[in-house]
Amino acid sequence: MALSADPTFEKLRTGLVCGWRDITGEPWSGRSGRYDPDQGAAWTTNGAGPHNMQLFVLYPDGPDGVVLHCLPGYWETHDLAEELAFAEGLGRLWASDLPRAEKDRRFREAHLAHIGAHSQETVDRSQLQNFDKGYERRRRPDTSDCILREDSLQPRRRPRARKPDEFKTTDQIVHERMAARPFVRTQDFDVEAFTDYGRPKYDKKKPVLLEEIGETVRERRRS
Amino acid sequence: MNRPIAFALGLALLPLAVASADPGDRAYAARTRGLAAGAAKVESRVEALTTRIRWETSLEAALARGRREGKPVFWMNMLGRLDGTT
Repeated sequence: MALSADPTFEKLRTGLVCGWRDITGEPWSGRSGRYDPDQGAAWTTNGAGPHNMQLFVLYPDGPDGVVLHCLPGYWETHDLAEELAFAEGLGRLWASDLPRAEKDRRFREAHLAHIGAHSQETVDRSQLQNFDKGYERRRRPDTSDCILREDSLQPRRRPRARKPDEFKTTDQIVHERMAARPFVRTQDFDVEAFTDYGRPKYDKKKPVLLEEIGETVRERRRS
Repeated sequence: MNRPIAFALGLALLPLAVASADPGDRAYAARTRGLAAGAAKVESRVEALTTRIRWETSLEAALARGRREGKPVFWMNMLGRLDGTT
């Protein structure tokens, strides 16, 4: 849905060359519940389903391209369009005559700085799913880079909705991970590590609706 | 819980969840929860996506086109098919 809605749709149609491939069977791909177009579509949060989908922006250099940006999972159309525009700027940086070390430095800086440029609405839409938070909390409470710690980069904005918690938002997680991978060739990009947050199995609709039901029941009990 | 029943229950309870939230929650809920589009809308969107944009299925071909047209490449890894079941 995000790709077929403006502003992303128009950007894809006019500003980029588009391609796709089915990753079913890849060792790092997710296992998803079956989903058909005739079932409709549910809203979800940015970065949901990182193992099921990865959106890359590549500079068409060399035999396999250079990774400018990678967004795992679903991204809302306005937020995605912003990230595509950001990646186009990195393409101009890659094409410049600057020394490679300087390009890498600016790449890192740009990705980290972009976290602070995200709107409050983007941050609100970028909360980790509760089941992904639970997975990270249980499996790697001391090492997960999804958890906001005292020595983490402190974001300018925190999500307004729901109760505050210790988790970074996905818009921060992806830029931090990209900052650690300046201008990597596509074949060398470690998709498995990059998309490694949350549960490996993600059903696009059912958990969202079940989570919603659970929250509503809890709210009604409290009131 | 039976899947269709859970889905129907979710839809039925959605207005309660939104009504009880503060304005910030409502803005958040508007684009992160619930049904985004019904089947007909999704199918027409999929058709527009697959017919109005030329999609390459080989990375090599996409990069070659990107070089020719002077454009970056948007490349999507996805579980399933662009034009159908995912």
